[in-house]
Amino acid sequence: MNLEKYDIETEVNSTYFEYISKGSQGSIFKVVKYTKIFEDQDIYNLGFGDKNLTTGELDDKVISNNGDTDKVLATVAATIHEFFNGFPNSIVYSKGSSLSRTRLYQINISKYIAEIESEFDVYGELKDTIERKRS
Amino acid sequence: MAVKSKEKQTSIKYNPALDRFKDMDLFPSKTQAEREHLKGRDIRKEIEDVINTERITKP
Repeated sequence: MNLEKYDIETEVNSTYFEYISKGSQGSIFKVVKYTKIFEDQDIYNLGFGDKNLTTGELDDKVISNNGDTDKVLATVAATIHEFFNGFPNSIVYSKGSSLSRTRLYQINISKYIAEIESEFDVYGELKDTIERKRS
Repeated sequence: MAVKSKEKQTSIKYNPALDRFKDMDLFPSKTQAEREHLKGRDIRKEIEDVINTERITKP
């Protein structure tokens, strides 16, 4: 996807990423972390939130309103790409921290589904049932 | 140590100072919520079932 993204920094395993969102509210420090959900299965939770640089606390429920949603999500998508380079056969489970956020993710995945599908198998979950996400 | 480019196209740089986060669960409540939600399920098997169903129903 040829979308504008922020510069990202990562650690050696590419499970932790950070970048700075710059928009109408100023600079906001963002963190993306892939964490194994079960020890015996390669399923990773995609955690994503803002970092308070004063307290070090992470918040995945805050609404930043920084006016750069597309760029922020494109940057998260870039981290997925990088994560799969290191963990090619794993599954990333992504769900918003609220219903509205999950809906926002669904809308953006749908918007770019044709391009995403060319590189990844994408499945959705409806009432605890896995379904293929198709363009 | 200077950062080195890990993937040029997306401007992802390796920063050794961030290695301390590699084994940390930074969003433990969300991970726990997903663990509860997916408990007892075999997601890989569910995906295989979807693929097999598509194979059967494909004209």
